[in-house]
Amino acid sequence: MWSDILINILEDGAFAAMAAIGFSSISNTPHRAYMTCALIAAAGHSIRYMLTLPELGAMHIIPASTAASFAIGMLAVLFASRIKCPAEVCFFPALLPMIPGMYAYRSIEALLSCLYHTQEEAFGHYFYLLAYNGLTCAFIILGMVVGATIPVFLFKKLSFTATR
Amino acid sequence: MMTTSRICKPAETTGNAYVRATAAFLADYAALLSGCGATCIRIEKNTRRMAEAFGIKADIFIMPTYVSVSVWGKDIANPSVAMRKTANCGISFNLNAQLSRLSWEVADNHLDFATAAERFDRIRTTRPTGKWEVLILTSLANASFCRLFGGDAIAMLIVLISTLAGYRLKQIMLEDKRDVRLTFLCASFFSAALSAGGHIFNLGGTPEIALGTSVLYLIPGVPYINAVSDIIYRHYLCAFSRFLDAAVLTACLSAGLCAGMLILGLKWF
Amino acid sequence: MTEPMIVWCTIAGVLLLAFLFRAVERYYTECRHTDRRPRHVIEIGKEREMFYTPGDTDDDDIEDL
Repeated sequence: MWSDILINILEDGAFAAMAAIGFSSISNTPHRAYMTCALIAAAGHSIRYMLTLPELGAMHIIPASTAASFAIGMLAVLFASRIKCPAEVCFFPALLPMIPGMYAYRSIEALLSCLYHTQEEAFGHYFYLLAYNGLTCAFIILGMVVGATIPVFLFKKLSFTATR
Repeated sequence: MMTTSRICKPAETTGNAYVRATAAFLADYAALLSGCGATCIRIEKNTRRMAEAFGIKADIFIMPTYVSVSVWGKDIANPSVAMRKTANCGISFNLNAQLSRLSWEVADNHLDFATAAERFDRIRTTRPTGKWEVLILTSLANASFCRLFGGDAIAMLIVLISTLAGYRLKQIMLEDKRDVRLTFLCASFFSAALSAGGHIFNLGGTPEIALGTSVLYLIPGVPYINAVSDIIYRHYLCAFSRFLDAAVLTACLSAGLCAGMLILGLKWF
Repeated sequence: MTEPMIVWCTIAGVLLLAFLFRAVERYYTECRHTDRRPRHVIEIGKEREMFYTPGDTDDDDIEDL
């Protein structure tokens, strides 16, 4: 059982790394930062996976994302000066695979459904889905950015002089 | 991309002409940094760092579409103000990194104004990542994303193909200078419709995951992160504007997805 | 073939045709060398054009991501 979990964690990290490279290429990340971003994203995403796994952390997705982002922020601050990029060039692409895109568009879908259904019960159901998805999305992003920014505050000198 | 520089090179290094030229340079610098998707705190810090290195004082006012820099030398009562429209270069971490490095080179190596302006001109001509490279990497990334959500190999393949088609459409429409919201709507519609093929032809065991993840490459992640970062540093107006920008694009992609599902007769939830 | 299958094939066909047209259009404009912008039969106007008055400069600064 534990070997299965370990394989799943590694697999999660590998695919998150691929996702981070692809999504960061849309935002014109410098080529030298690709490997670092992939590594940080893999570490961050697998930490979140471990924390949300019922057998291990069994945490809710919001605190798990915040904790994983904290790890991403720490790694980004450490690696930023090595690849001569600002800290956010390292941690933004690494955060991209954790952006709750599904929650974001589900809430818009729920909003459209609200307008479509006039019956009170159906309307209430979709309004609940709108609020649930919207709030979860907002708080995941908030938690992620706060988590990743704390290390920047803690090591202010290091993170703002990375490109020096 | 930007073309020629609007910076005038000062003949002297003191006096009003110098202050005016520096204000113009710093405003151009801040506008490019803002356009490439830097957070407000970085724009503020980098610009001020350069101003200090040039031996003058500067204050900066950042709005989502315009940046204004006020610069003064010894006489605070007689500042020079320059305002620039935010550069239309798209989010680029490469530009962000190069511009940040320029600010440190000015501060640490005491680059003179003319050299800094020349370096800046070279940076603004930086070419973006190749479009085919981005297309392939994004498609692979979205296929990996499908796997992270629990999709099987066939679902990954479906997502790969639908992302290739959708992202290429997005590139073509943006090249033709179509409205970005319309572009997102069309790209998400076609991506969703293509990936719904899994449902329609009964391919693989997880067609719903293929459908759900096929449009995720369009989610504007960087503006969302930037918005929260600006809230932390109390740039609320910029934060609100970036959030609304991202929310409108999310709404467009969601509408495209819903339209695709509606036309193909699939249930939303 | 069921109805959704026909709709799906139509959508995929339209997209494929669009890509094909684009490629052909590109090919022809490259051959002509005179006009760099491809000519479209149907064009979608921009909201800016509502406020256009003769004499305005045509600066293409539509925001894109």
